[in-house]
Amino acid sequence: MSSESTVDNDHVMNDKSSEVCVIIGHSIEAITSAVVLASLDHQVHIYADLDLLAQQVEHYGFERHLQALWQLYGQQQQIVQCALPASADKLIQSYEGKVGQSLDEQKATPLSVSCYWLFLESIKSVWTDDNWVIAFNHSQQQTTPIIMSGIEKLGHITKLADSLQRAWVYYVPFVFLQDGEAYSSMLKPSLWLLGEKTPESSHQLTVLQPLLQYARAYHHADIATIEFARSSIMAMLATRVSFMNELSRLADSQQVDIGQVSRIMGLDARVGSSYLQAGWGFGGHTLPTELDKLQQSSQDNSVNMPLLQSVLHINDDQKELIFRKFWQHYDGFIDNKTVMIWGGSYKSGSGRTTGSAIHPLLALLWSYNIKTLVYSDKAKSSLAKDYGQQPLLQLLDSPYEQLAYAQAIFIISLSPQHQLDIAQLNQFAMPIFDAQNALSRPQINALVGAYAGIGRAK
Amino acid sequence: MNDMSANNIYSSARDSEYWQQLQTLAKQKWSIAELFAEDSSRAQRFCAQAGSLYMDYSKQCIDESVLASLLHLTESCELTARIKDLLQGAMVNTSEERAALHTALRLPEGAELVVNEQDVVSDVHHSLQQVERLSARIRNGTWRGFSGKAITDVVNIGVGGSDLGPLMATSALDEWADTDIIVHFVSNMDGSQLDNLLKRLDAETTLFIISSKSFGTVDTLSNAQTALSWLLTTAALYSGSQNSVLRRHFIGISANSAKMTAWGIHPEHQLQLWEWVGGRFSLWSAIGLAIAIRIGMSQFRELLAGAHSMDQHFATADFKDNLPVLLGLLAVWNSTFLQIHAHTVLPYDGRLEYLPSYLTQLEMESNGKSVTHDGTHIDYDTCPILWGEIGSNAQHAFYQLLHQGTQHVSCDFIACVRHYSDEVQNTSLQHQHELSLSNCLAQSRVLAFGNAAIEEVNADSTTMSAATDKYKHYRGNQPSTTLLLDELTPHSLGELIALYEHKVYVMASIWDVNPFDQWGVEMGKQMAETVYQAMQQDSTAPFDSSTNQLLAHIKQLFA
Repeated sequence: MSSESTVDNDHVMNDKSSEVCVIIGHSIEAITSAVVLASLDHQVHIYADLDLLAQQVEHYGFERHLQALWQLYGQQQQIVQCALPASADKLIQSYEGKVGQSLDEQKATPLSVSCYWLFLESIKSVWTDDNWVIAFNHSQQQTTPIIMSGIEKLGHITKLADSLQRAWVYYVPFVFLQDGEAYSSMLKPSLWLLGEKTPESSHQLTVLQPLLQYARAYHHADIATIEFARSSIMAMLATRVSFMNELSRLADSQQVDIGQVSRIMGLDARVGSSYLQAGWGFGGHTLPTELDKLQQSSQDNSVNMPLLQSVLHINDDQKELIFRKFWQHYDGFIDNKTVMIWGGSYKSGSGRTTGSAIHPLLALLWSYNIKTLVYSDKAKSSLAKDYGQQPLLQLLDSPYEQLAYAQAIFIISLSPQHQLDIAQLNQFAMPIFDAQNALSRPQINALVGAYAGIGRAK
Repeated sequence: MNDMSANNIYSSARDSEYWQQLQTLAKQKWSIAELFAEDSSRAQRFCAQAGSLYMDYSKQCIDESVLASLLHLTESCELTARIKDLLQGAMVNTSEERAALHTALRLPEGAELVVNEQDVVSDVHHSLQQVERLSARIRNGTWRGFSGKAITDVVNIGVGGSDLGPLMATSALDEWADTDIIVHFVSNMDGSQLDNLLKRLDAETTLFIISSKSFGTVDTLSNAQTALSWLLTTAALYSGSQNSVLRRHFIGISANSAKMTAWGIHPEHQLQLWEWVGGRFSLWSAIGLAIAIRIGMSQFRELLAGAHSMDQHFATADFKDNLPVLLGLLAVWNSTFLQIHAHTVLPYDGRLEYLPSYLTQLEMESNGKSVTHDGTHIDYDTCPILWGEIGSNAQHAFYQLLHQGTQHVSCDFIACVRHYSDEVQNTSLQHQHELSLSNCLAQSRVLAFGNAAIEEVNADSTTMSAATDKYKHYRGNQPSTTLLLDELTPHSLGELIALYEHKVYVMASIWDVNPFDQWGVEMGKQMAETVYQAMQQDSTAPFDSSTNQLLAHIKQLFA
């Protein structure tokens, strides 16, 4: 973990740069932004609940590139961690000096802020919207840009921007961020969207200019439009996933491999190939939060959104579909068995299990007194933290360890690099319930035991 | 164990001087209006309260002397001893030689009651734990149907007490339901209810509760068989076996576990009843599973706690302040002495929709008797004909008869004082509630005082002319009791139902009949079997000419 300090004048005086980017928040988006700005040679002060920040950094241990840079910039004091003060006034004063200070005293403060970047979800529990908006409106530096990021109900960020007096207010949605590749996906964003309070003012945001140039696609518009676009992109991705999952149920009864269908669909340029994989659905933080906020917006505005409802319903139900296949295989007589589960994170490559199908699966299996052997290289610590006390859970270090004791295998999120040892599997010939559709067709064909995927079977 | 033989040697109220006194008093010309005119404090004198129930019985045709004589009857029939015997598990059900321990079903954990060397309290709580375990698995989605899907619908198949109690309580307490699982009730023998329901339900996610104390009730078993066939048809598509369907879609509740097993109910999904629980007194037992599924076990336990608090009141309160005793004595006075042969229950609350049919069974099956405990034929009227309806609906149906018909009818008005109190958005609901309460009070007033009720208010106006119109004449003098619940909760519903259970016992004690058997329903069942046999045969049926001719007509249309 990098060194921690609060901003004090000594530190400030010794610093080579005279401009600082102030980041407020402890989310992965805030941490990534700090590292990216540091790598673009900016001095960064990141304000957060330091315990939460440390937890978050630890939680994202699987982001190896990001971790290494975070440590480096911390040691070099290019990223300085500061405790988030209870009120926004205090934070602003530490850069602008206190009201009533003499002009000389104010001049003694050599640091000027190039931008304030607020990660709204992180600061919610410490500052109320009113508190920080009023504080920034009292600030003497009304030309310093403010950037906001986060997923809120439609229109909320626009409202915040309007209540700020200054003209240079922006919204950056993290639509580009990829789990496991946080740093590079932000440095060279696939899609950079910028919401502006003041039209055609993006040039005021000099610190972010390089990202804009690296971006594969870029668009700026008013904040309300960017908010709506962000939400629509996410909802579309979720809809594609649920639609494929719905089709997979029909494929089950048609002796068709939905995986092959997905690949064929991807060949049609009108459809494209992303987010067409049938499986146990989507999890994580971003997509579910996004859909939840969208649903709230639809309720607040009394707009009925049956498609969105279905997307959510299918996704919830999909998470236990693999359990039902297991149940049907044994005609419901599943009590007291032992099963192996491979993977646990919400998607392969991530170490997080938020919204992963492993949670409902484990709860159901345990309710039938089924012993669960779980191998998940990336999510092991997360699972140990959630379920360390559960006597029916055993976390393993190797996928084939204790395989002899298991009567069935579930696959939730195997990393693509993982080479399955079909010969070993065939020794035991146990049924495989593949919620990720991780096995290739040749692998499935080579299996001795039964196989049930999502929309594909042996 | 208490002395099992001591309970059918109580003295009889019929032989007491107070019975004669009451017969004499009943011959007076009773006018409710006059009773009120004579005594301005009548309402304070004739009211009682217990827990969240307030009872006004001042609109009954009684005075202090009637009440005193009625209270003396309780001594003549040794009511104190009878209550003690009931609560302690003596053999109060003499014709079937067993106890009637519905009150034990709501004893708190840690209470002591040993009957026939059996620790009843521990048995009861063991069974409640099973109800808790099964209802929790259904409610939290752990319980799965044959295809592995969680349960969305529960169908309670039962008839009589296995139907009316849970139906009444789940309907009354629907505001406490905290699950999306819907509970349905099926009782009809002809299958029409079930047929309608199955068209709307999904076999993969429907669970059936088969409730039958004997597990031999043909109404229930024929419905259960239809449910099984329906499930098997769908299960075949998922290669779900009959074994799996039986195990995942049926819970049995019965005193006969051998018959449940023979039918195919898995032992872990059998809930126990005891011979000492009568069907119409059984909603507190595992029969209440449907209630527990809907409102959760902690609220179900509140229902039991409410009933238990009424049991304690019944056991300990002075009879002159004892709600069940007073309600029972008034019913005896009306039926036996004033010869009022009809009684109607009028809840002014839609949530109590099924209370009248519940009480119809409770009272008429219990006290529709004409021999005493020792088999002597009795020479007085017992249970009146009882029916009822939500009061405001009944106003547009049978109140005409109450106000202007030729029959005397006694009435119970029931209302809940607080409702919608946390309803901030829709004040018109609060308004509707107040309208309903006003109607409740207004109707009992008009029934009691007739035209005088209006004339008092409009003394200066010209309604006298209306009174002279014969067809606008309200004769009044229909006696009623008004029961007010502070508000309807699981606890207060428990109090209310236990109040009526004990009312029934008080009446039975005065009449010296056994309220816990129902021999009158047996012969019809036997005869139905004989008729069914005859229906299957070609030859002429061996019955009376009417039945034979009806059968012939049916067979002709069958052919």
